[in-house]
Amino acid sequence: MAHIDRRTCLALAGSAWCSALLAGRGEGRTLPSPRDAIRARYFPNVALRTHHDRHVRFYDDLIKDKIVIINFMYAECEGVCPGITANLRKVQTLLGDRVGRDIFMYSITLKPAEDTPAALDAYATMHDAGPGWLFLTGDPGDVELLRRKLGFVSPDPRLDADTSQHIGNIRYGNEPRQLWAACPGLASPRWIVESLSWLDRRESL
Amino acid sequence: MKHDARAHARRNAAAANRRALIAARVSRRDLMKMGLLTSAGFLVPKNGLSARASGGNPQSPPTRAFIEPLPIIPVKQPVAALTPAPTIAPNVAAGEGRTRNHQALARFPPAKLYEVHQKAAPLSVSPDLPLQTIWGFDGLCPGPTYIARYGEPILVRNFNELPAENGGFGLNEVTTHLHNAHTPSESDGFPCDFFRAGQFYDQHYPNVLAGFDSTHPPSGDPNEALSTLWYHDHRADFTSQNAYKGLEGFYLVFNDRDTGDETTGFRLPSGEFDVPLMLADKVFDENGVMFFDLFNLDGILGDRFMVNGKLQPFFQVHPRRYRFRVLDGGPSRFYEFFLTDPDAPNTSVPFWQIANDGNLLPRPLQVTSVRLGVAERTDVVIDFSQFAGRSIILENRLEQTDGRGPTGNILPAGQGNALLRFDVVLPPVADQSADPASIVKFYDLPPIEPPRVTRTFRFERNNGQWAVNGRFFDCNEVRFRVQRNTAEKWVLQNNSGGWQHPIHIHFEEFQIGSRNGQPPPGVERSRKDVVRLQFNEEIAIFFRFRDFSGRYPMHCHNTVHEDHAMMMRWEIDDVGDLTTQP
Amino acid sequence: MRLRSSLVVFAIVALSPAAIWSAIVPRAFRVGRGPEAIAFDGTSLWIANQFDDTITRFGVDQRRALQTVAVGRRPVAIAFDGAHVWVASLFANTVTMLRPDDGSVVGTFAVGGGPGGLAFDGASMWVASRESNTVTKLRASDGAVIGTFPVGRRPITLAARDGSVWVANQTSNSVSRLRASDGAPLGTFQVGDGPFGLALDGQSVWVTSFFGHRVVRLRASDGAVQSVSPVGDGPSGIVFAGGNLWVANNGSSTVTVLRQTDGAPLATIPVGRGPFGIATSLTPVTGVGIWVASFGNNSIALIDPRQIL
Repeated sequence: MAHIDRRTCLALAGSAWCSALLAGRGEGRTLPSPRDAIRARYFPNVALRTHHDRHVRFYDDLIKDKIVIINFMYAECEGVCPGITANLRKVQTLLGDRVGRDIFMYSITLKPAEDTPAALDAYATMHDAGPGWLFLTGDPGDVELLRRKLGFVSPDPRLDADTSQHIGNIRYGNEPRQLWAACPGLASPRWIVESLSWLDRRESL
Repeated sequence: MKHDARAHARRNAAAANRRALIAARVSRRDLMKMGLLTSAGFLVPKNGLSARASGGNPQSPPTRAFIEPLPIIPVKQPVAALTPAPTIAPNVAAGEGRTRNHQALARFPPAKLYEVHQKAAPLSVSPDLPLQTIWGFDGLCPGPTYIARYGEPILVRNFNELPAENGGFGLNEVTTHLHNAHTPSESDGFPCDFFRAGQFYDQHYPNVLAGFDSTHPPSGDPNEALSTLWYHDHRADFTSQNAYKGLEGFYLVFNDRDTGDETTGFRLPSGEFDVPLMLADKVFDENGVMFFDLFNLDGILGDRFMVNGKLQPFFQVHPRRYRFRVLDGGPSRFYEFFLTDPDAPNTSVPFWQIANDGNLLPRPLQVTSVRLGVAERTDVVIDFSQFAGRSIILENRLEQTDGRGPTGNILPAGQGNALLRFDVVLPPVADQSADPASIVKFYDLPPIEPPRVTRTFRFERNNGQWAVNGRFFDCNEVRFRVQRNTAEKWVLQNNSGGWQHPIHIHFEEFQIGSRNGQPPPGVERSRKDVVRLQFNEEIAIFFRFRDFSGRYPMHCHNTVHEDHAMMMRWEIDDVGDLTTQP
Repeated sequence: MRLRSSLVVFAIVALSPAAIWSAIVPRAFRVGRGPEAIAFDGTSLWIANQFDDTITRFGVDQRRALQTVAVGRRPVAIAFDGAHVWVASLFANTVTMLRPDDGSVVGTFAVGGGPGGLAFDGASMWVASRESNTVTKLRASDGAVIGTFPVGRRPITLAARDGSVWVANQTSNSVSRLRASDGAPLGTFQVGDGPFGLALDGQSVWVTSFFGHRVVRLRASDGAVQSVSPVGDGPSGIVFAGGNLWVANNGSSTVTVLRQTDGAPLATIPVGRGPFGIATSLTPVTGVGIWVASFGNNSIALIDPRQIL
């Protein structure tokens, strides 16, 4: 069937609509790679500080080329956060020395104004978090942006649509392979490790 | 700031667009025919659908409706032989990813053999969008339709040839579930029975009626016959991504009553007049590429409507009866579809509903609409003779603004989502199918016997994740055990909160004993395998677990909930347990 | 005004803003199946067991269930008007009026459209119908229908005070204000993400945003947002108790305590699964109690506010 051409389109609707229509067919555009599209959509390269007070960039230093587990918490939370943190500690134990080598764990604060690196360091120590597991804070605007992009908050509060809930879930993913999923933060540590192993395959047999 | 300015410009441009079209005196009917009306009845704004797109998702680029014909899905053809020949034990050396023996292969030797290859392939969904890269069975979306018969077992050798490069979503480890056949566990596509690229998995489908080894030996209860099944990927945590990417298809089963020949048996429309319709809503990004919101946990709503792999196609029909097998292929949307006459949108157009979830009803029901949650199927008979020379539109009028569940509002005719336009322009031909009004009975509902145990399942959110009885899915955790060849009653409960769930249980069809204490209404007086659990509902279902044993799941079929732990594993064995709140 | 107040004002010692307990495990008591609604009549709590089609009368000081009364199908709302207990039965389309001392039924009244919310304005009982998107005003003495008024979509909860009735419209993301005397609409205000529960303090309306994990405080006069408090997942029931608000978080199975002056979160307490309704009690032996009905595990839980604050 013939594509609608620009002239007919203009007669029908008007130039902006037609541009969008023709653009929608991908004519004359080079498309970003899927990996780039995911990065642009979900991983702003904001500046963060670790609980060791080191400066890092979210995408470049923490996500790119890595297998990651991400959750949100805050230091004075005594509700569900300690349960998840304790659970993740067991996950770290099961993963052994892979954490920090090719698997990285990130706990990002929901209260960046209060949770300074020192406060996060105290929290990490209290929960006996091992190396390779970073607790992160930053400028409140940046952290809020991150929270929204990672889907922990409704991206557009104007719409009465999909909203955040994620108090208790952890996101896990293999960035270079564009594999992302989520699982309950309170699921058994063994199950979390098994889920993670799925992302970590060598290529096909 | 920039966003506001753009939005402002969009609105101005949209207004100018509307004025131009109105000035051209394009009638409302023409606008609908051109697909230029949105769900709110407004003209399509210049860069996509109205602000009903689900939060955070891009708004798809504009596409025209009724430009291309409905694809008719090809029928899967058997092969003469499989090499190596199928074995009861997994053929690991040859690369089979199965881990358990076939429990019934010797008893039901395959009469037909198939091989299917899951692979990436291009798909054109619309001339207004670029070619999409989908993952499909045999590279097709929907996958090829299997035509099966009761009493004729088959075996499908399922090859995983999916690429590691996923284009942004999907995982190339798969497990294919035939929803909802009476299948031995090792062939049923259990979520953790996935196999990797380069492997294959032999799935044995006995195509046998339930009860062959228990209540109705030797060939099962004829009243347990199913007609419309579908198959799809069911891989734990990635089901929504993989199914959305195209790994779904139909599987139709016939017998000596639903024969596939409209001159025999129940005389239902057959051959070219028996058409499966897979509904799937999608989102496309600003480059026109199919988009999946990876970080959405509530449910994904598409703003473009695909039928059999094409956006809003047309279908030319003869002025006679047709049987359509309509499936809500997900990922999350609920539909209620009507027939809308564009010349008289406010008139009701009745049609016949003959099956619910692939179960022929006790008798045909005349209806004006059918509601479907994800994975529900309905078979309907539409007689186009009254519309000879005209068009009629299959329209979804159930309002839904986010992935959690529909609002419950039925939109006025012409203001819903136009799915498919039937053009009754082909010449008259003989119609030897029976008028559904004259069909007195299809099957009897199997009698409900006293259950061995009653179990209660509360569907909840728990710390933001989906849970059943407060616990999350773990492939390795068996929540309860059912004694083979017994019957149970399961009570499903939902609260006042804003979430609704289509609940699916594998292995056998259930009957809804009561919905909120009352016997189910009309069309739900049927065997089913998916039940919509709405606000404050308590649904009691009754079923049996006959003949086979092994692991099976129960889960919410909003695929996004499913991937975020709203599932549980149960098993059939010879002992069973009596846990009432597993 | 015949409202029996169950609020008490007690002095709160100044405390650090984020003092949060998880060590406290509220005591739980079994009731019927799927309780969502709970109300206090001065000596007993009344709990609607929605899947049993009954209500339970629970003696606060006795710490046990005293009586179970059958009502219409799917009771999801309960209120006390000072003299009688009222129950809305969502699927039966009825409202039942009972005597609190013995649970005897005084009358059962038809209220169509899925009655699921109740509030007493001092003279009349108001009923929100979730399917028909209306509220109905009943004379409290005999249940006679005085009027029916349209509101937004899926009106879930009601609250009444100072001559106004407020309605949380969950699907239209708004709260409506009606004049209690004649049902005249006084305003509709946007509140995002599924407004569910309401509490009124004279100047403000506190609204739980079920999908938005927050409690929004609106100025009653014009709906202007005065504060936004982060709470748990799926906040539903909300009630005042002496200078604070207590919020049941259905999706995280906790109760959040907010300071009334500024909406600051003070504490988070884990409770039984799926809490919905929340009520306060004041009795000689127990003092003040905060009670939460947990849908998920068929129980009510008692929080002693003195242990928390």
